[in-house]
Amino acid sequence: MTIRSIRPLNLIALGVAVVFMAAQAAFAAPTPTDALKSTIDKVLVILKDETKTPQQRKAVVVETVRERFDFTSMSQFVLSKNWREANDEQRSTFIEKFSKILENTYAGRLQEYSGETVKYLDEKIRGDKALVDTAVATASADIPISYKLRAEGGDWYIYDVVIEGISLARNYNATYNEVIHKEGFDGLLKLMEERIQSGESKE
Amino acid sequence: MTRSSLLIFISLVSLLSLAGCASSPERADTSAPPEYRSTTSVDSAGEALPEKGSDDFEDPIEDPFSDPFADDESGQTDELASISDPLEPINRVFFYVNDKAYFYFFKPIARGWRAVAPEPVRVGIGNVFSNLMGPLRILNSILQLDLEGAAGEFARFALNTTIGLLGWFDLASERGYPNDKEDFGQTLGYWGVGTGPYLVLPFFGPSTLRDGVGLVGDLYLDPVNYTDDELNWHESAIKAGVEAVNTLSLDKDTYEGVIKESVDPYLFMRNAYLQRRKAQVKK
Repeated sequence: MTIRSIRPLNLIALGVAVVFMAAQAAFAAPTPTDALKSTIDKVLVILKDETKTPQQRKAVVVETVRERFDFTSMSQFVLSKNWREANDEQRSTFIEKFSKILENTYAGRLQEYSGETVKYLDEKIRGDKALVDTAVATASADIPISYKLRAEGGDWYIYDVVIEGISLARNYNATYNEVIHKEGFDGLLKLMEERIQSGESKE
Repeated sequence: MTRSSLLIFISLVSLLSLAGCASSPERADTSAPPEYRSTTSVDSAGEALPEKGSDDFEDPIEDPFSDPFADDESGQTDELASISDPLEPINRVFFYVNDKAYFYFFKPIARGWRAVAPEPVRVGIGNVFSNLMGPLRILNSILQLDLEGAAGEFARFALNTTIGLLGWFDLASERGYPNDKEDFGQTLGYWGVGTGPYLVLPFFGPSTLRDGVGLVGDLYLDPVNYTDDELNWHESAIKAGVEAVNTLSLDKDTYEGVIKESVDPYLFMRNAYLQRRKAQVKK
């Protein structure tokens, strides 16, 4: 069976179908940089919004960022071996508390935003994981910030942030695993709860 | 700088290299499991081990988490865990002291300075201090056999000192000559000197034995010290203090915001410092 033997109309229909499917695939799968950029752009727009109070801005930023973060993967990364040995309840409690701690710690930093621009430098993809290098241009220097993302359901989600060579997940890993070693998993959860309470009482 | 003090310094460095070879060196073979002080064994990212979690909980990925970018990164968890902290009790004391000094002394002064001097002035001053370290960065780049980096730093120094008015204006960064921040601690790391134990130095903050020696090394190597305007210790201390206050005034409360919020600020800072140094040595 050759191409010439297929009816022209069928061929055109087939061609259209192929192009349509290719377009669908391209449209449905953003690159990691695109995914990251869409979230960062949204956040920057919110931060510049003068019509909202700082509290409102923070709430919207947190919501936007949560959509892009994969807290489960990040928690797994942070706890490594201790994740395997934790039960379901401990795991879900940890994820909940860890995301709250991240929120308290870093959402506050965003209030310091004063118009810095973000440059997107490089993107590497290995399997279902990606690394996007960016730089934030401040008055005194460029701060290199890299994001590690994981593909799921056609979109990309952040599981680690590397600032000036310091991987957040590894840093929390080192701290938390030491605490688990000394005080056990529940000891860690208790300490985390204390941090959350003291963090919130400051606001 | 007298000949005898230089001799002492050289013997210190050789001693350190021997000690460094005994402890875990930077570029050791990581396939063998290292010994660590903490008994919490952390699997190096990338090993796939059988999953033990229950089926009720959805594990989106295999356990433990595999990070294909672990090799690109500065700090591998198992390597970092093997960096010793035998002086932890003393380190924690100095950490506490530095913390109080930061909050009750340096930060208030920095805030006052921030209120008095406008940002462009503080940025300018910071640039001048940074520029003064230019010759040292050039030298350290050469010692690390990074001639391209040395040339870049030289161009940076030349441009900023002349047209940038003694370093006030950092024109070089915009023209593609960024600040590489090479120091003697990194030079030692380049040549395979292990970090040695983690140290928290009073005033200077987190360090390691190698980086501490590196600090001293920089003092001896700094070409600026060999010009006619040699600073005595008092003047050096004041210069360091002024630079610290100015830098703090430009900083946006990073320490309070990030490190203090942590469950164990000491551990957080230790790990952050070690990761960062690893990244810098690799560059």
